[in-house]
Amino acid sequence: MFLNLRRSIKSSFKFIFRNWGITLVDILILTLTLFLFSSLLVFEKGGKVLLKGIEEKADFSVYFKEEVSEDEILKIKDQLLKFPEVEKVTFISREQALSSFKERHKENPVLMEALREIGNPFLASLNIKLKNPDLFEKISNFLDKKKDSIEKIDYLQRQPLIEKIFSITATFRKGMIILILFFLFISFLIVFTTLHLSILNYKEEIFTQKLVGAPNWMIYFPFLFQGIFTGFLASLISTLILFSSLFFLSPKFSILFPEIKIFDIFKDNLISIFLYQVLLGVSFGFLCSFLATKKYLKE
Amino acid sequence: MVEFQKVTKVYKTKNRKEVLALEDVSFKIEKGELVSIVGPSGAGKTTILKIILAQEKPTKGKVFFEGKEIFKMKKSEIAELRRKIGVVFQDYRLLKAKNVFENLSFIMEVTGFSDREIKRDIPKVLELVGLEEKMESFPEELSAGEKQRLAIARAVIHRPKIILADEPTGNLDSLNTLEILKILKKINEMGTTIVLATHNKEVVNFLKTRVIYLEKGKIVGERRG
Repeated sequence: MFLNLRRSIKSSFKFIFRNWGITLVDILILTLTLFLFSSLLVFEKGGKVLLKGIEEKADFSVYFKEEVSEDEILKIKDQLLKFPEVEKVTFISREQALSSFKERHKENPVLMEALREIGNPFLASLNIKLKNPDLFEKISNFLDKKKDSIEKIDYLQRQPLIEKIFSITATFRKGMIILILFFLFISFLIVFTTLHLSILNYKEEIFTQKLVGAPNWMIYFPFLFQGIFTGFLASLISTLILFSSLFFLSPKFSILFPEIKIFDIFKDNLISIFLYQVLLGVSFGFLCSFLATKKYLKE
Repeated sequence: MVEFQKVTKVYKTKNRKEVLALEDVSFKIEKGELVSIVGPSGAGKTTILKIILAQEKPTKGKVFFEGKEIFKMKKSEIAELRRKIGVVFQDYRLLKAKNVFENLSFIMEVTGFSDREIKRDIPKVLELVGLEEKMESFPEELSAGEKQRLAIARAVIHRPKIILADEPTGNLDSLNTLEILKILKKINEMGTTIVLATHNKEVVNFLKTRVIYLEKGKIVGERRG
């Protein structure tokens, strides 16, 4: 077993280096495929950051009557947080609302003067962010039971905007999944065709090996080894290219989308992106070589 | 060692025409024999060798190797059968990605020889066929005669029970032909069964061994050596 493995690995390396031209083309095609795929992954992650920022804006507020105490409001906040549909609840006291209003309008002396005359006109509120706008009904039923304490809910005014934001982000996410799947399929076809063409050169050789009684695994081995080797090397090269291209492109990209630090996203996900590439490169290389060799072994 | 019982082989062409390659062929080859199958092109010589190698399946009839019916064997048994056979293909079928040494070591690895045996035996066999200087060459760097000799070396290197040689002198001049025949005769004298398909009567006359005459897929005569 060990002897066979040692011999096969040795002859596989010879096979790869003697066919360095073909191996190089295979690596190039696979590198390009993996580079495009991992770029897509990085931009998908960047897109998610952008969407998160947009979704942050899809919230609504519940304003409480003046006589409702802070303790009561905090109790309602705790109850709301128990709903799995609720992403985030923030309590804003009357004082906080006033100070943030003052901060926003400190340049406007008329407003400041008016505020001094009427005191604090703001109500304490809970700012609620849902995971999905469709879940509002459930929260609304809960808030209905507390209507004696509630002055107003601004959901209805904000509803069209919230629904639009969620619809855009959901479409983007679905679109990205479809795009990734489609890209995987196309990549597989490209890699399969390339490796298939490389193995086609050895069609006669595969047949001869079979005729002299070589077991199937011995015939498969160099081709599968080449597939794995090509996939691994391509994933390494692709990660290096991605690293350097994002390093240089990131500042220019930030001019367009300041909230997305594309190189930081890549750095934070470096290990997972590299592992995805290795997994994809090695499995593509292995599977495509296996299918192509199998075809000629059957003939 | 090999027995054909009323074997018929019909090939179907791409335009679905039927071509009769062998008809009711029966013969027996004993262990240690050197048998020549002689006939013009298209007589069915190669088909007989292909059937022994389990490369083609007969349309009718039975074929036995060491008493076992070949076409009732499992896939793994077929591979095992092939490892007991040494083949000299008409078109050599050398492994072009491997050099001369590796073409031979591959067969020895397939048949389970150790590294020590491989290093010991290959130079000896290459010397026997006069290729000891070409160990590192690739098949495309060899002449037709050298390719033929390498094909013979590959067929004998793992000490098979039987050697099938399809027109082993087909592309050679008379000097090389004589050399190859001497090698084959020597191997046969060492106890290996040889089945040789040829259309060359000079080859048969030189070998002076058993001959099966084939014409249009039928055995039309036999001469004992």
